[in-house]
Amino acid sequence: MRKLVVDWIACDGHGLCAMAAPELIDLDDWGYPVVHAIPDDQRLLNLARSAIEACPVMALRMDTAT
Amino acid sequence: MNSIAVASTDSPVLLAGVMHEDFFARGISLREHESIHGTVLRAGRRSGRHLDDALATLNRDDVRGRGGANFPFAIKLEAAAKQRRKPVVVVNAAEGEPASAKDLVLLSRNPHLVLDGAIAAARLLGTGEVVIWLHHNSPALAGLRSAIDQRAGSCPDISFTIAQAPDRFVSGQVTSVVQGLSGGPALPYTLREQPTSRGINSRPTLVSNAETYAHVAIALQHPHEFSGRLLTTVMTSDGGRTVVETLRGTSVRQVLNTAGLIDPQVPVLAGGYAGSWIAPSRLSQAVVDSLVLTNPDVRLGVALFALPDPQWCPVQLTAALVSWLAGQSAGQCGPCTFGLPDMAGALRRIAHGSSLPSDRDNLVRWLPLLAGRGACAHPDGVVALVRSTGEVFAQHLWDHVNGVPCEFGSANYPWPSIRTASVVGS
Repeated sequence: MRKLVVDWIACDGHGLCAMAAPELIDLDDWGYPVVHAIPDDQRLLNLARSAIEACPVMALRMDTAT
Repeated sequence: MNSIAVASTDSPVLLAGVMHEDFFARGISLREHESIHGTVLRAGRRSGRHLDDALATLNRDDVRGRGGANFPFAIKLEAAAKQRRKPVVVVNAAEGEPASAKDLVLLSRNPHLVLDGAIAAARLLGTGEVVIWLHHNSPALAGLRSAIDQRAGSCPDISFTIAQAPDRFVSGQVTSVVQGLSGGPALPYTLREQPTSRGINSRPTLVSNAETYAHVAIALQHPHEFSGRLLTTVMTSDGGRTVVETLRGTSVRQVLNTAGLIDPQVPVLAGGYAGSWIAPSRLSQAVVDSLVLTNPDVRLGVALFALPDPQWCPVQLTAALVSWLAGQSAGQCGPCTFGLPDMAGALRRIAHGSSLPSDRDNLVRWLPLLAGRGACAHPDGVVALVRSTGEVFAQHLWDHVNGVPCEFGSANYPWPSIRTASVVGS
């Protein structure tokens, strides 16, 4: 299992990640990402990668879920 | 600061010889200190064997970080010892919790005990650099300077630096300390690598709380006496504080009794302003176990027990605490910067009978959204406080949400820092 990790200081709440991967990322009331665990599924992993690439301040990364 | 009393649930060790109030004004001399605690681990004793012995002792005595993380000290020390470059030893004495006075009492009355631990750590690591991180307006500053001067003769291998921390709640977070001492702002950053391998200006850095170093000194010098001691602060409704030395396994009731409070009838705020409420019926089962309270299982970030006045509305008091805590956000992470003030606003409206229809639902929805979504644990503590308010004062909170007039009037709280927050109103 993998998960998305947010660098909270870097994140400015642009919200582009949630647009890129709405199945994996919601936005909270203030526009900041709420990330969900990524099931082992190639399509969803690709979606997570596109969310990481969408972030203009490179605040998202992928990590193994613990 | 004159109203800080000192007590111990048993024969004191950390505060041995300095219980008398005179010591708050002048602090103990090096000679007096050495007559009680002996002399520190001598210079030039760095060797694998000494380090291994020390690690074994620190592990056996289970010496843990007393700043809030409760992390085993030996693991940190060993990690710093493994680095190729010489580490820096940092004593974190920026007691950010406004009502906590344990580090202040320790540094004012016996700074030598803290220095002993720092010197021992530095020598075990083969370094001579010790930095003490202290609030710039700390009443302990003058005494600490004098204590360091008294060490000049016996510790030529150690250079002490006092670095002054800004007066802010998050200044004591370990990453704030590292960033501040690296020449940046004293604010938290996202931790990717532990300071023990990459700390001040990328150098290996051992950062621990002031009381932790006192534990290290006691454990290394007379290991039989340590056996899980810790300092706690008890604050009464008038803002009077008592620092109580106690042993792990002591009930909160006994700690409160030792501070002169017999069987409180109101819930106690345990763990600092961002702590948790504990109902009176649970005080005798609630046991202080290092930085965790067991039964009920509450994470005791700061070993502080605060007793409100029975005439204060607990919902209004919580709203005042949350308002102050929201203002202490470093403003770096979105959920904390925007979420905490919104939560404080909703709580204030609920507390003062002017809640909006959405306030209750928002509170319930926001609680899980504000914990675990930041570079530091500041919002997590605020969330725990609000949750425990819902548990311990469920009926009272419910009445407020439903607009039932509160039997308590508004109050001014003579507690540090929240005095002004209490008059913010709705």
